[in-house]
Amino acid sequence: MSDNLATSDNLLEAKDISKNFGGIVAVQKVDFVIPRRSIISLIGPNGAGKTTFFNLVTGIYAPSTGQIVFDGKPLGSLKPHEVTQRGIARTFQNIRLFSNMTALENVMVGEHSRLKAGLFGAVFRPPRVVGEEKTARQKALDLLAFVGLGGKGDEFAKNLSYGDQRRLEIARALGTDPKLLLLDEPTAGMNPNESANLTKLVERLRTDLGLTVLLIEHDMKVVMEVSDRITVLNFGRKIAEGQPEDIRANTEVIEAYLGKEYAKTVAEDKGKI
Amino acid sequence: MNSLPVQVVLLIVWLGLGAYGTYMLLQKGYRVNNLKILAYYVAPVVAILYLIINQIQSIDTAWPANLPGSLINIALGIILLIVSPALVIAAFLLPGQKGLDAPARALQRDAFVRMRTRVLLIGAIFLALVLPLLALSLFKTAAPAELRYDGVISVIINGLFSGALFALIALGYTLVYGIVELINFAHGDVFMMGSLVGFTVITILLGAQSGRPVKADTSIFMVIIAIILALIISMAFCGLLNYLINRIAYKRLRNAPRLAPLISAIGVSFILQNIGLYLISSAPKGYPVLFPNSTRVANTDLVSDIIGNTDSLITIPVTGILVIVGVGILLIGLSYLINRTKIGKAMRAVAQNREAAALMGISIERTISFAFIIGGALAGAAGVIYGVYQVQGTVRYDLGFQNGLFAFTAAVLGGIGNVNGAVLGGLFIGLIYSLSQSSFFGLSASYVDLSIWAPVAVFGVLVLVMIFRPTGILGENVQEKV
Amino acid sequence: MAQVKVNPATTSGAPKSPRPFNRADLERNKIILWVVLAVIFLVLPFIGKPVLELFGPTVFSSTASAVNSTLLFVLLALGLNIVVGYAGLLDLGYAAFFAIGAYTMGFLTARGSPLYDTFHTNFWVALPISFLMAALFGVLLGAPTLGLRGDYLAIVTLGFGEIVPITINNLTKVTGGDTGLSGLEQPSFFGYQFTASSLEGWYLVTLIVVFFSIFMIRRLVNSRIGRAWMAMREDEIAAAAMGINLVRTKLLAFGLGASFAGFAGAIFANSLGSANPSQFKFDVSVLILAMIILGGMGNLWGVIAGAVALAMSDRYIIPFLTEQVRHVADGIQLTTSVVNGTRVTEANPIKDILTNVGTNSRLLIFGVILVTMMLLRPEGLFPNSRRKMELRTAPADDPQALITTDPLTQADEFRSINYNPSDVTDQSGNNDGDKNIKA
Repeated sequence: MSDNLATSDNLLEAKDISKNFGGIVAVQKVDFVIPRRSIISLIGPNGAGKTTFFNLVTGIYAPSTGQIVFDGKPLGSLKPHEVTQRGIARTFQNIRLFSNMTALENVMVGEHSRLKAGLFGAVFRPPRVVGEEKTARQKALDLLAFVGLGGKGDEFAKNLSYGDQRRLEIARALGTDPKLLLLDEPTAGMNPNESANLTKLVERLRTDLGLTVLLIEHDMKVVMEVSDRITVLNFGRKIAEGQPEDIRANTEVIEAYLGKEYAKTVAEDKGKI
Repeated sequence: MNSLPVQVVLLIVWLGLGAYGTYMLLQKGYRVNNLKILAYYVAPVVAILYLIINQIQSIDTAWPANLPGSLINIALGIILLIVSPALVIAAFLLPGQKGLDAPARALQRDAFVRMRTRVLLIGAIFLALVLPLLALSLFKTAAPAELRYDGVISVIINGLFSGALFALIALGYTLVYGIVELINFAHGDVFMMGSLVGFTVITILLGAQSGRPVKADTSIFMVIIAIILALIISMAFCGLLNYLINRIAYKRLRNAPRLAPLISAIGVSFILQNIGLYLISSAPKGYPVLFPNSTRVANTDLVSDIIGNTDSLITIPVTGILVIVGVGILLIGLSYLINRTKIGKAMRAVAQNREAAALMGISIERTISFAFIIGGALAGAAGVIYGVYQVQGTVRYDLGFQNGLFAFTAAVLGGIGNVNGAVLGGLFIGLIYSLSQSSFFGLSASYVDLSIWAPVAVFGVLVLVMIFRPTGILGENVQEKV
Repeated sequence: MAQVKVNPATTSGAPKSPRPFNRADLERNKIILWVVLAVIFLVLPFIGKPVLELFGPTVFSSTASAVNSTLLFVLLALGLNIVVGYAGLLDLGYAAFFAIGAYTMGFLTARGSPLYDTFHTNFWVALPISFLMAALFGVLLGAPTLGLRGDYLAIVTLGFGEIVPITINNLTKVTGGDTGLSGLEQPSFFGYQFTASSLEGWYLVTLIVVFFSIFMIRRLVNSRIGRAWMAMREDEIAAAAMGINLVRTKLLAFGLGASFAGFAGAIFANSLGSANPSQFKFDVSVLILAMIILGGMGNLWGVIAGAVALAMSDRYIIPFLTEQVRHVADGIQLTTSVVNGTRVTEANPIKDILTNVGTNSRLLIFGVILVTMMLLRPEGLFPNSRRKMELRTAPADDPQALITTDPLTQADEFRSINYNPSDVTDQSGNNDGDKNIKA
């Protein structure tokens, strides 16, 4: 990156972010930093505000207070498509593929904002547009191969297996040429084997493509394996942040998940051992 | 255009009030949506345009004189008369918002929404009551008939009468929408069928002829019995009709994309219209004149006596009583049904959350059918009352189309899915329709010229509401949704 | 699809792709097919005229005018199909844009137009202006309303569709009111003077426009824009998250659809030599909608077939049939008798019913088509494969049902690190948030 402003170590900095729906506070005064080329996990019990945080970053909601700075520039109140154009892509907790389009088309829709053909170009197809389509198609095929869906480009998205749909969502998000990729529970509903494969894929997103990844995940095995750092939300507040080992030992986190009483017994058990 | 200076003064006063209210609100820390401010300041633009158009009009007689008149009436009526007082009242009543944190602000916002509903109601009452008095002091008897305060009262009363009927039809849209989220496009045509059934019953029972006074020897008692019977039969028929429409045309499409039942509804609407066309043929008929001897209830008026004007312009047709009594009883009955009975509770539950209601053992399909039956019955009653009240041209195959759309506009204006909203919206649409025809603001002398623009006014309101506030006046009030 | 030689560059992941891009053979075959088709259609009136005139002096002209209006309806259906079929926006006031096209043409070329003395022009100049005017109105109406939910949008467009003809009807001084504008100056083309009766000429003009439209739509659908429309129709939130500007994409569809109607309206008005507000009422909007539903929304050929079928039945078959019914009705003799010196004609209910059915059945037929199509075959007679899937399957209002979590395995996973197993999906409170996307 030649841009001086953008060479700060952090790709995304969220300062003092709050979001409330009516009287309900979904996210409260969260500070959050994502360094470049890191894999950060966001965990927390149900309703902790994790998905809301995703929606704030991707512009689906505007934060009630606070500011999100991405790649050196504030996101302000950009619309979702503008956020995507800036380089943030996401997957959805409940898979939201274009189910009646083929896998290949799904990925090519992902490339939408990186293509230029307008009305005139689409109708008259000058050589520039033909070339653009050709490279877009090739890139989509490469991305499908990258996530392990090589050869399945012509399947309709809804006919893919559940695990493949999750992968296709990632491929589609990669089609937008992101700098930051937000994955909302990528292993939800997968068996341990599939989860393990997906964990490897997440690692490869960083090693092969140089991406930064923010992950919401409930499968602790995955979280502990891939994360550089874990942030824990509870009732919209950040209650802990740190290395996987620290989080595992953090009593407040255990309390949040299991309640105070149980946390005490856990602590006692540890004392016994 | 002798009243022009008065209008300008009025305009400036209202605008000043509105600006003052906005300023106060901003001072108290509220963020007023830019779009709303823009919508608000459309009013002065319209006013200036109006002045320009007036100038053109005096030069070029070919200019369509009625268009600007209609436009300014609506703009003044809605934007100025409601928005300005509402802003000022809100500015005084709402607590300051500075220095509060996000959740407290959100709670206040909810309170604000409730407050706004009340303020809007106050605005409506203001429109109905204060306006004529204001007009009285301004115009006295010097103005031509259409500009006189009692003429205005007449316009408002008639507006409220037709508004009550729009409300009845709007309820059918809103009940169904609240429960199945379907715009029952055929509802207006059910209303048409109701009018037709009532017409048949009344003419057969009284042996009367379309558009003519009833036979001289028909007693008032017989007429009332005939009306009641017509109401009952028409309500039963239309309830059944709406039930069958639901069963045949919508039930299978419950899980289809939203467009499918809407298109099906348009189809049903066409079919009903054509059935109407077979039955009545294309020439409109009218109900028999049921009370040939008394067209006015009252010709006296206290205010006019005070200023020494004995010739009051207030005319209330005697059939207006039917509108008040009939609509009143139906609304009270509906309110009882929704709030006090088991099936009403089921309806509210299904409207709130269909899945949860089903889990609680409520039969969804039965509840939906019930909503269709109630909506149909109300439309049937509206058809008969409308026929008796309006008399002329009330039995025609396309009666349902425009009136249905007006009623739908009313439902949307009030907040679709909201029962109180439908009634409020109906009254508003009646007023808008009536005021956009009237020459209160002295913009056009000819009633006929203006009345052709009234549909444009109502559809314009529809488009504007959809653009600026698709949830309607009471739309956010989820608790009171069906 | 025929066997096709595939460029190796595109095969790496896809053995049989539905998107033929650089396949020379197929393209060549297609071009030949298109040329043959075009030639057939172009020479059709010149072969048809002598043939049809064998059957009677008016057969050709009545057939040809039905064909011409069918072509215009094909154009209209193609335009509405962009809006409803591809972009998924239900437009119930489409006839308004048709009216705007027709009246723009009227203002610019009619002798009765108030503009005539100061400014008038010929057909060829007025045509693009009409089309731009309709597109402009489409964008003006679309820009503030396209954020609305599907059925709300339908109602706004319906309201607009009502306002336009009423306004035209009421502005008597400008538009001639309900008598309309007449005396539109018709064009000449290298010495060929078009008139209201030069049916072949209008046929060719419309045909060329239709051919170009088909070409354009086919290319659009298989492009970046077409993919965006399709994605948006399937899932707006996901489409926005993929960088698609929803408002702009919808507006493009809406404006493009409106401009088709503007084109059709301009040709329509000029070929008749007049424009009248009653030609653009709600039933026209619904007729066009019925065409694309009947044929199969989103499928180009289906839509054309639907338009041809309905327009021909509207202009040719239904009038013919009802004419026959009326003939029968007219044949019934009424019995008359003389009572008290005056002739009294007895009412004959059968005659009345037949006359009525013979005169007023148009709405019923379209209504029945709409309802039965929705109930039995919502995807149309010639469905687009994707649309079929969308319409046949319930919308995914419960995507959670797809998640086949096995609680036991999950429990094991979690137990290993001491966490609560019940916490699998984070949906409470967040889920409905997803639905109301920020404007």
